[in-house]
Amino acid sequence: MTTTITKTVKSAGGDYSSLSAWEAAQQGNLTVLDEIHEAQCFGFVDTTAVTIDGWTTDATRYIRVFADPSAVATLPYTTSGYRLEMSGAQPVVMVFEEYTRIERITVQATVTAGSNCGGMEFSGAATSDMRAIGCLVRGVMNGSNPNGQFGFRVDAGTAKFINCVALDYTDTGGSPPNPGFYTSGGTLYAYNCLTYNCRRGYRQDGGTFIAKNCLYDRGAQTTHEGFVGVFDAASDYNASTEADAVGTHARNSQTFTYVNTGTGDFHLTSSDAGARDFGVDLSADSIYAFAVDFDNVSRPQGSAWDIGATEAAASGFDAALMAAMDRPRPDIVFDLPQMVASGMAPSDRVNP
Amino acid sequence: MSKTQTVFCVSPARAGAGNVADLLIKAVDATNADPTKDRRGCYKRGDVVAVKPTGWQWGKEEGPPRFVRLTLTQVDGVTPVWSVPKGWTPDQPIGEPPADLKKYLQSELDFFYQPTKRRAWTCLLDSAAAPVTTDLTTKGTSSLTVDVAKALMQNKSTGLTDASAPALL
Repeated sequence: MTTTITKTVKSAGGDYSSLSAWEAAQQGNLTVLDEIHEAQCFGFVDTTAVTIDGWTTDATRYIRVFADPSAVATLPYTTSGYRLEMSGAQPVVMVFEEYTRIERITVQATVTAGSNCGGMEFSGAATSDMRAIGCLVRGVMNGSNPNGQFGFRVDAGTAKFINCVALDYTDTGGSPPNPGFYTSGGTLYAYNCLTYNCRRGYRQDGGTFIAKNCLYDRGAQTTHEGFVGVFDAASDYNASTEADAVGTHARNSQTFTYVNTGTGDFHLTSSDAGARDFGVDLSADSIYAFAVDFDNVSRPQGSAWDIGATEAAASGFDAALMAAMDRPRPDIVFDLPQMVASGMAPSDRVNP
Repeated sequence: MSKTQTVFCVSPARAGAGNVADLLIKAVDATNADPTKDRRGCYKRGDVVAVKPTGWQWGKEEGPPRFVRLTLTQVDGVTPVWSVPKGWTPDQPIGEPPADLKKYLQSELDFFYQPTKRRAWTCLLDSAAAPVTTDLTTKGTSSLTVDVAKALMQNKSTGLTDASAPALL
């Protein structure tokens, strides 16, 4: 029977003080050990780049990196969760291992020059199943010409990006332009992803790119492209601020409504008319079936799935509050006696 | 936690003002039957896994048997260059190592910038002076000056040590 080995990554008192050290310590042949190895990451800034390589894994004996529920990726970008933040000339997370799952962590890549850096890069063997689920990658493009940066990239193998968010891979004037999601080889599945304020949203440059329910919003970019390249015919139900979304049910030249773009809260609101209720149900998808959003909130909340990473709540209940309820919020106190004393009725709405 | 690890975690070497950084070093080889993965991906004994400022709180398993740790002191033995800032909290970036140490974390790359070895440098742990090797064996940690440590850092490609490089500080 397969055993799961879970180690903690914490700034103090954990098994490891960086994800990189966990990876170095745990490398092994999981198929022989008959083990799943997990890294449970708690809230702090981890400033050592991570490469996952040198293991032996398979579909049932795999590597799992995940944020503790108290430290998951959030919108707006959190300063209390587990974050990998670094600068330099390499991807912050580089995955060579065929069966690796990365869940709900936050990455920030600061780049001042060079190319082919970025947030997460996947480069596995032809037979592989690499996953990033509910992850957020933010670029900080400094200097005049960092080019070819990326939020998420597949170079070889098969990787699935579910409910992932890429922010701020902005136009630096360099070439090639910076995309949120990029495939140079292999197969990339992007399901219910969001790119906001990126020079390019989804770029197929090589390999196969399948995008479903993906949203591109140019944000503050004056030069911008949502979907670039030749996408697989299975791509559909995508939406864009530009006239380039792919699929027969594409929603082009749309305006999207978020909770608060000023603070970086890119949850769709219940009044959104661009993406809300226009997605396709992927709960029985043959490649990757799921029915939650970036915040682990059930899909759908309305009459149908939303396009993008977050599911707008049905009117009267806001997604931001639902996201807040998904993680500990000591700053929110529900004082029931006081609520009753103030005349609050059970049917009253709660607004954040 | 084992007794050995307890000793390791409370090592007093970090407290002095003359410390500059700690190197977390793989003490045992990882191996893979696939020669490409083995070369490109597996950490080998002597590979530097992490560089952190003095005062960093290492994890419970960041010690023997998988790791040893070297605390580097400056050549002048007085001025700290990289230590945990006063008032630092885990939600703040700790920053990145000085460039002369950060290079020990780099992979060896080919012409196309693809990694060919997990680390371009190795620490010749078995070539250290007897007191250091004794410390590493018994406690899992030891202290060295930067110049001595550089003489132990060998570039895997050239075979040369880092001792001839300009002084770190």
